[in-house]
Amino acid sequence: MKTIRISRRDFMGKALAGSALLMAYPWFNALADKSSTDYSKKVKVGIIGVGSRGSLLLHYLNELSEEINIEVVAVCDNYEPHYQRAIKNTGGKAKAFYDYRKLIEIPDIDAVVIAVPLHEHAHIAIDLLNAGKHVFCEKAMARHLEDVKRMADTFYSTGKVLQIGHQRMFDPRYLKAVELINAGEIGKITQIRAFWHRNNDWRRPLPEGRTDLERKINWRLYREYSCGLMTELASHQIQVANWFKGKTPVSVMGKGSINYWKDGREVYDNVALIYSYDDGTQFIYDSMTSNRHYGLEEQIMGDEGTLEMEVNRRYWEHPPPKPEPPPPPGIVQLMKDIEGGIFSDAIPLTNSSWIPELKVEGDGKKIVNREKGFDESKAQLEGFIASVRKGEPTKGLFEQGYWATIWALLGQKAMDEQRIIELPNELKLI
Amino acid sequence: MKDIVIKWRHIKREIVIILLFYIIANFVNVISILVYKTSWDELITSQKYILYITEWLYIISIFVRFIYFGIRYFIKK
Ligand SMILES: NC(=O)c1ccc[n+]([C@@H]2O[C@H](COP(=O)([O-])OP(=O)(O)OC[C@H]3O[C@@H](n4cnc5c(N)ncnc54)[C@H](O)[C@@H]3O)[C@@H](O)[C@H]2O)c1
Repeated sequence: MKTIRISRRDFMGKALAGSALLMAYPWFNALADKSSTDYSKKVKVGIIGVGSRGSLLLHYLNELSEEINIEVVAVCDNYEPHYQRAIKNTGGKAKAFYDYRKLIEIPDIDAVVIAVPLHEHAHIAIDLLNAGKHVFCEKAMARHLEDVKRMADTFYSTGKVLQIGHQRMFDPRYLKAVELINAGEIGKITQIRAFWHRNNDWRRPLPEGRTDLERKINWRLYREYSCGLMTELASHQIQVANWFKGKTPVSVMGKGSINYWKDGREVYDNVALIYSYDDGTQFIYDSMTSNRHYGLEEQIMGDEGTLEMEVNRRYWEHPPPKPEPPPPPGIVQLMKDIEGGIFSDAIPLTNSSWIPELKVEGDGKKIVNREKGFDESKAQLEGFIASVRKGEPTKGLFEQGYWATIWALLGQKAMDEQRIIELPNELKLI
Repeated sequence: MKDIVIKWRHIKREIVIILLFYIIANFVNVISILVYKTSWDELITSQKYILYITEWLYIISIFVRFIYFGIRYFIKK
């Protein structure tokens, strides 16, 4: 068996030592259980869509090639500059294509990473699964609900791996947070709040004189290709909320508008939604693009504590009392008492009902100690390759991506149609 | 202009007053150690407070004497 470096898996192991996660989260198990994985056979990987995200994933695959014995043998992009860049980034060793169907024809490709714009995910993923390839597809799953369901049906019928790129499931902060929740450390989760705030127009510059590329490059801003904030950002946080609640919502309502970037875009530049779970828990979500004071966070609130994974902190509702400071010297006490005796007749200006209900004091504590340089997006690719080696999907992982996209798209529908939306029967998974 | 002559007798008197206040401040410290049941170490560690109190008592005494002698001066006149 090939010798491999095990630094990341070791780290995950260390960060979550003694944790019940190995049992609870099989995708983590796949990553952590190095002894049962056979690394002797090289896994051949292709990548379709080598734009911004695809380039990063290609970079990680290259970095991992030695460590987990993989090779990127084919790249595909239909935009010339990205096509050329991808060839360069594989050292010219990989076959390159403009049309993904040509890549599918290479018989010995085991697994394919898809990082094309959202509206192209479904048909490419379905074609790949039907051709017997294992697929890692970037989030969100698809632009339309029916396509998401078609992807799910193909996933179940082919039995191949279809992993959706929600990297938080491979992030020790989130994994540890789930463990704390399961251990009852924050009590009963009674509300989840999440937000993603930016202050920029989300546009990418077009090459000089190429306004015809606007929709190709800024696809996120157009309804034909994307649902903007919902599919590109909120889907991640909906995944986290569902995962932490251990269930999916029963309904969603919301409002969205273009109130700032009136530049021809079609997707909302701000959204606010409420997702409701069957136990009465509300997941309150908002995203905006004209103020980033509060940045990005998921706040998991229980009656005993709160978790904020982005800043890696946990807080207590009843922080342990600080140790009493030693009493001051007797003479100081005497002086204070004399002073108190003189001024004690002061009339209080307010009664207790006037005291504002300020936040609980205390900076909390780190959820987990993070290793410098650890990257969950890279870890999720490792997890994907581990599943590919096994030849079967990791239990529960696909469904996380499925429900995140379904509820992101239903959220969009709720805002567009101005009504409360429940899960349609045809989208239920059997 | 009249020269002010400070005689040794005057200095000695002021030193005695300061010493007296220092003793009073230490006595107050002893009382507070007993009342508040704190450590006897404070006989040493609280010396900075003792010195503050001594200083304040002395300043007050200057003020009181200034008023006393001022009033006496005007009455005699
Ligand atoms: N998980 C994350 O955190 C994360 C972060 C960023 C982007 N993403 C996802 O990655 C995907 C890509 O986003 P991006 O920012 O890299 O977009 P991008 O526009 O930078 O890149 C997309 C690339 O796909 C190519 N492409 C389009 N259609 C194609 C086709 N039919 N065949 C081959 N190539 C094609 C484009 O030419 C482009 O190079 C999106 O689904 C996005 O949501 C995920």
